[in-house]
Amino acid sequence: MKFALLLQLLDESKNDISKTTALLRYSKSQSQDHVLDLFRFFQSIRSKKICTTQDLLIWTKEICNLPDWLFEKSLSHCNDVLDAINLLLPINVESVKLTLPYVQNLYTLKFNDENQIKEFVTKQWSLLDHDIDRYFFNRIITGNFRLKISDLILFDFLAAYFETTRINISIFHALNLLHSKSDIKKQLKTGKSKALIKKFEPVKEVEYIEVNIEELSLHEYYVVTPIWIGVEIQIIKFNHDIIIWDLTKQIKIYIEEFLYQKFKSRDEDFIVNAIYISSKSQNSKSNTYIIITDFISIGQNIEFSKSLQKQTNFIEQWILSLDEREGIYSNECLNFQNHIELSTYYNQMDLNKYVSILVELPDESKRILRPELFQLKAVLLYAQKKDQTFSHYYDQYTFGVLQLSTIVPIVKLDADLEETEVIEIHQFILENTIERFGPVRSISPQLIFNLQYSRIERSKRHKSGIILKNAKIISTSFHSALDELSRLSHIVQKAIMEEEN
Amino acid sequence: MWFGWYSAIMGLSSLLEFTEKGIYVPKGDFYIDPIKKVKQAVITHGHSDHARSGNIKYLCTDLTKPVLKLRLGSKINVQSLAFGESFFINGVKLSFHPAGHLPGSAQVRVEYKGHIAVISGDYKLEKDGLAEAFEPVFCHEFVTESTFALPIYQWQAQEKIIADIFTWWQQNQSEKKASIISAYPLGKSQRLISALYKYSPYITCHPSIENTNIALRNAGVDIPILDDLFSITKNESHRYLVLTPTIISQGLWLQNFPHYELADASGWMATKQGRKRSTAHRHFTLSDHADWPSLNQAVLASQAETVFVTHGFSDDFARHLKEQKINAQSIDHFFTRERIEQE
Repeated sequence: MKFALLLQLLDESKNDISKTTALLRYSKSQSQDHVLDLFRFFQSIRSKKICTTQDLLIWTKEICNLPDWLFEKSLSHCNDVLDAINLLLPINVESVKLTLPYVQNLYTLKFNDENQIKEFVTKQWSLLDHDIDRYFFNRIITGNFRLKISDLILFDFLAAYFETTRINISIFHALNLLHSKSDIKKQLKTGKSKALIKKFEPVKEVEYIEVNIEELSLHEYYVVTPIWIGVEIQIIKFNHDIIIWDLTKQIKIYIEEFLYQKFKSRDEDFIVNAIYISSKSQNSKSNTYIIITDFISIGQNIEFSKSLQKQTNFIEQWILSLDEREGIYSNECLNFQNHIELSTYYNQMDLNKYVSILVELPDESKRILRPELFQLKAVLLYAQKKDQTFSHYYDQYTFGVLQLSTIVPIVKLDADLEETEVIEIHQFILENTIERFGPVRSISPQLIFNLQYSRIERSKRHKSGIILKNAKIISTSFHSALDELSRLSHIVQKAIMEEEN
Repeated sequence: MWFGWYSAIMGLSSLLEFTEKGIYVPKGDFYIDPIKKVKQAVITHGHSDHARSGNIKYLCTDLTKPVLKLRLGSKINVQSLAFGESFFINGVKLSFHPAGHLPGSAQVRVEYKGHIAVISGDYKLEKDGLAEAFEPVFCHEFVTESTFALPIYQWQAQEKIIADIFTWWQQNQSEKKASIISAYPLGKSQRLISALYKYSPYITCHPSIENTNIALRNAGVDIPILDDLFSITKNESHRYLVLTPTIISQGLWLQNFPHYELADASGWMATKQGRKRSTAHRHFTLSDHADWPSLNQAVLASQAETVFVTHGFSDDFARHLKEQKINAQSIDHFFTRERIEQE
């Protein structure tokens, strides 16, 4: 298969299977080194701009000698200037092939002046095959070319190429082993790879139950872990439904901070590369995992990524050293003897920048302790459906609190409640609607909710004059009376006092 | 209602008039490829935009006759002529000359008192090995099509396209996939069968194409006999190249072909935009119409004093011909204006 045809199929195919098939077909006739070069090429940066599309248009006009109106008509009919240029240029006999080395060479070319560029481009036009090659040549030289193949397509392709599974490829990619040029097929088939894969046993699905510290009794404690980053760093769980994408910068910083904390006694700096993996899930409780793919210690001037073998060993050791129980958690454990010590950790969460504390009970169930939040009681004022098409129930509520003798809206929240509760509230809304404003229903102020929030901020845009930050519904309180409603003045006063403290 | 505008504008006496019903020859009182029902219709070829039902009498080439009967019904009143054979209708001499578009497709030559007009229908200049090769016909008035009348449309040689198709077919075979090509059932399909059968006999087609094949085979066209689509088992399905009409390129009839790859063979696949519109995995630029150089070549070869352009980029091609000092006129908008007025 021609390289240009591969580019065309990758560029124009609408589904991943076609792209994988195209890659496979091309690779079958190529050497393994060439395939690895191709692999790198698709990860590479945008091509270098040798000339502009406008330049190409002018040169094409000179060659074709067409009247302006016909030239313009052809361009507008094609709807792609570079495609039109290729089709307008005369048909020629192919004497130069657009190959991967040819394209790589284009990325490095340097020219002194415009005439030199024109001479080069027009000569290549007459040499390249007019069918597809010339089109991609045009795209490359105008800096308009980058084919980014998704990791999933590459994994599928490599799995088919090496006659192995996508899981194996994913792990090897994660461990950077695929950057090794020498005989990767052998690596994938050796017993060593099997041993490596064996270590990545799936972790059990975990349900986190949020609790208050008072609800825990000491004899239940087993492992207590501070959570730095909101996502737990665990060792890989692979299945066929995983989504893999590059780690966002923010999470990367969190991981580096975590590792820094872990190794700070050794006074070392680290650079960490990782892949963020999330299992597909329709609800919000998707499983999230992170694989450390590259770990560079700057403090000792050791770049592990240079020596892949070393790095692999290091990662293995590091993973095993995380926890005596063979790396279920990479987070460090907190040692404590009694309830008071746990309470100390809990009270110092903010100081230590913990997002929360994870408590694992002997039966391996998890409890999460979050910092104490402010609470208030607010009444339901307005309700609407979050999504007019898909929401069955009224699931977005506006709450109000007392200001003197009137009720002012203070916050609008989604119904983060059990479905039975939402249905109950929905029924209440239908029965107690005062007025309808399009999709919004104004509700008779009767139903009280317990809300929590982390802090308040002043706002001129809001009727109440404040915004509740990180607000969340805790529970409904069908039997509360209006007298129990929080007062706006109290909320503001509490915030001021907290600030002073 | 018909337009007597032509003579006034061109200052010439013409054999042709362009009416709401199509191209009319008043001296002979017949229409060529009429749009609406008429008494006497002369048909250039069997495609549905040229051969419509409801006319009282039809006149076409010998090879087009079975196709017309297949498509319009066996009860139609159709008379046929061999290529080059003359026939007089009300004193107007009429003959058919090969257009190269598909087997039996013809240019219609009409002559009255030494004045000659040729209506090309659809045509292509490239020899495809199946249809009769296009024959340039000297005339005073030439009605040309302009489906691909833009300089971006320049076809590659058929051998190269067929070789590409065969390579794709072989790749699919090695991957245990059937190869399905969607193509027009009359003309393109037979062209592909004829060209690809030389490479491998494992070709089959949808029954709608096979019906046309049978009609043409019976009329003497050399189309190979293909394996029956429904007799092919799942185990051997990957060997086959299946030809199908574009509109039904996927469906239940493909249940014996569990794994397949779909391709489109059309002139519109030349542009990226055309390929985007297609749902196929592969695209082959293969057309039964003349490309830009061929259209220009055909117009020059006819040596016509006046050229009428229809069927496609008619305005643009007419303007281009005018700039080449050829007396040209687009006639498409007269038909469409009539239609719009009616609507």
